[in-house]
This record gives sequence, C-alpha cells and structure tokens, in this order.
Amino acid sequence: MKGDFVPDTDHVSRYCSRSRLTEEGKVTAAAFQLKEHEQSISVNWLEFLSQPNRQAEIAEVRKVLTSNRITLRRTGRIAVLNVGETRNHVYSATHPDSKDLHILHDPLPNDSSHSGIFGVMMDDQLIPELIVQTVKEIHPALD
Amino acid sequence: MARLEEIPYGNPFIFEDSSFTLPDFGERHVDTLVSGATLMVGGQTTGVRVFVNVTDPGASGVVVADVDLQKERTAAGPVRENAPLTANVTDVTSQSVVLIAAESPKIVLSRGGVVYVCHSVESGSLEGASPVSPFEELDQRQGNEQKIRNLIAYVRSSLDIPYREQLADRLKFLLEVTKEEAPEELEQFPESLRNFVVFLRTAPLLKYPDVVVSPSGNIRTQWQAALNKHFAAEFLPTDQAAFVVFSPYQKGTKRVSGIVPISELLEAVEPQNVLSWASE
Repeated sequence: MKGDFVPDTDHVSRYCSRSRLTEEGKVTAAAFQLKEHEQSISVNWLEFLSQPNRQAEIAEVRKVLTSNRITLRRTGRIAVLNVGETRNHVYSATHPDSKDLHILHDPLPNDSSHSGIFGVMMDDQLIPELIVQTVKEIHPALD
Repeated sequence: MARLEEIPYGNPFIFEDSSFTLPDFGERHVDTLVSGATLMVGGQTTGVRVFVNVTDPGASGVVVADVDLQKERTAAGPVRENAPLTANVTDVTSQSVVLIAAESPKIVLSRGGVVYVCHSVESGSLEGASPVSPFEELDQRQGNEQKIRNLIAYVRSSLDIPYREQLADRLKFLLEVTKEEAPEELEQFPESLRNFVVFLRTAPLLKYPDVVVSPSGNIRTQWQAALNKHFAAEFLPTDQAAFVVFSPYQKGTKRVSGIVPISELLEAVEPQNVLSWASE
C-alpha cells in the first residue's frame, strides 16, 4: 500500500543509466542523486514482485521499466540494495546528525512495486555516496 | 576565483562557429578573455554596455575600435599589435550581439584574425524576452552541443594533462549518451564542463578521474583509492563545485562535504590529504 515502509530485510533495485556509470561499469553516486522536482529516488521493491529468485525479480523489473517507456540499454545496470543495510549505513555514517532515510512503497499505475528512497536532498553529495557504498548486486539492464 | 573567460568554447580555428550566452551577464565580469571563442550577448537584449579590450601583456597605448553590435558579428578592424583596444557600446537592440574574443591575441593575429577581449559586461537585462519556442529550444540544444564539442576539442588539443585524449574520448561518449537518453541534461552541461576544465587546469597532477553526468546535467568526477580514500566533485554551472571527501580518520572514516568556488576546491580538500593518493 502506498506509504508503507519497505521492510529492512527486503531489497530494492535502481536502474542506472550509462552516464552514471564509470567506464568499468561501476555504479556511482550520480545514480542516487535526485533530479530537479523529484521528491524521492525511484526504485522497485523486489520482494513485492513475488518471484522465486533474484534473477526472476530482475527480469520482472526489466519488464516493468520497459512498459513504462524507459529504454533500457545493454550497458546500463540495475543495482540492488538491501533496505536495512542502506538505511543503517547512512544513519551511522551521518552521526551525529544521523540521517534517517525512509524507503516507502509508492506504487504507480503501471508499476505496482515502485517505491521511493525519501530523505535525499537535491544536490546532496554525501548521502548518494553513502547509498552507493551499500550496493549489493549489479545486474545488466538487459539480459 | 575561476573566471568565466578562462576556458574557451572554441579555439582560434573554429571560433566562428562557437558561441555562448552569458546567463546572468548583468552581474558577470569578464576580466580577461576567451580564447578564440565567440561571445554572444544574445536574445532580445536591451541596454547592454560592453567594454572590449585586448589584453596583450606588453600592450601600450589605446585604440578605440569601431565595433558594430547591430550586426551578427563584430566588424571591427584588425587589432594593432601591442595596442590595447577599447570599445564602449550602449543601447544594444539586436537579436544577436557577438564579440570575438581570444586569450592569446598574438596567436590569433598570426592567423589574420580579429581579436577582442570582453573586459566587462556592466549592465543588461533579458526582461521582456519572448518565451522560448520549441524550435528555439532545439536551436539552444544544438548550440549547447556545439559548445560541448568545442570544449572537448580544446581538452583534446590544448589541455596540459597527460590523459587529455582519454578524457576527451570519455566526454564525447558522455555527450552522445546524454543526447540519446536525457537531452534535457545538456542544458547545464557546457557551463559545468567548462568549470571542470578550469579546475583541471589548476590541478594537472590529478590522476585520470571517473567522469559521469549527474541528473542535473553536471559533470561529476571522482577519484577513489579505497572506500575511505574517495573524492568526488560535481561541477555546478555557477563557477562552484559541490564536493565530498572520505578520508581515513583514527580507526574510522572522516566525511567532509560542501560547496566552494572552483578556484578553492583543491584548497578545500587538501586538509584531507586528497592529493597524496589522487595525484600522480
């Protein structure tokens, strides 16, 4: 349901375009920066997709993104985060301010698993760097 | 402070095809000049007052040029060697006011070019300008692309760093990807790229960085030797850079971030010993 917290044990994925990747294909913090007018960083809640394994979840994410007119490129990447690890890392690394990220379910008409990472500010440099440190897996954007 | 004019959008060989628009020229001061670039005080501009000077270090004497800003490009005669040149222009009403400027007058003179230096833009306003039509927007994007290509050409041919070819190739790739995937991001790209190049000129010993484009359309670079030896900077179109540094501190990591003028970026990160691992 919209506004639900994505559980700390669950995972979210983020599509990273080629211009946010290094020449070696590593995801950079630019992939977790906000665009102007965005309130949150768009992600997909993987467990919400009810697939048997990670490969199937990623395949489903590819379908959803494509159906939302996002043109996936062979050299693009899909990065996977564990919600709890990301939140805890950002929280502890920003001590004493202790920034608390909220990762909330934010379904869209054609994307029921769509969620958002809330708490990143426009032009923020530090939080995206901390988020990218917690990327657990990187998958090709196209199979 | 890094200056608008330190890095050209063009070079002496292609300057006639390059141009840029001063985004807020009412406040900007262009004290030296642009190497071979075309300066366009453009749009439906009114009441602009432009001072044009040649800055030849060995110059003496004064020559006032006949600069006709009603035309698309200046029609002033050739600059006399060793003679500074000044032209005051008021009541500009043309759609496109262009001054040709160059950082190294002697080089350009040797090719028979006309060289001017925009010394300062004292006042001006874009108030009352018509909304940009889709066609004009397309033109603007094409203009942005040309500026980027000119800057990349400058990096490849003139920037005094060991990895200039590699960097130029990378920038060219990013331009093509951005054009294809997010053309709206090209808007800030030229100013940001120019500021990045200004920075590199002050830091030629830095290693080849990872270079990407931020969602705002800015050049974002990073140097990383370890998780706690990480320096990233996003070059804003406002002559500033937003940076973050992770560095070893006691048994943990010290994290520093901020926004500083480009000219103060190295100074800002030096206390974290960034140069000890990010430079050759």
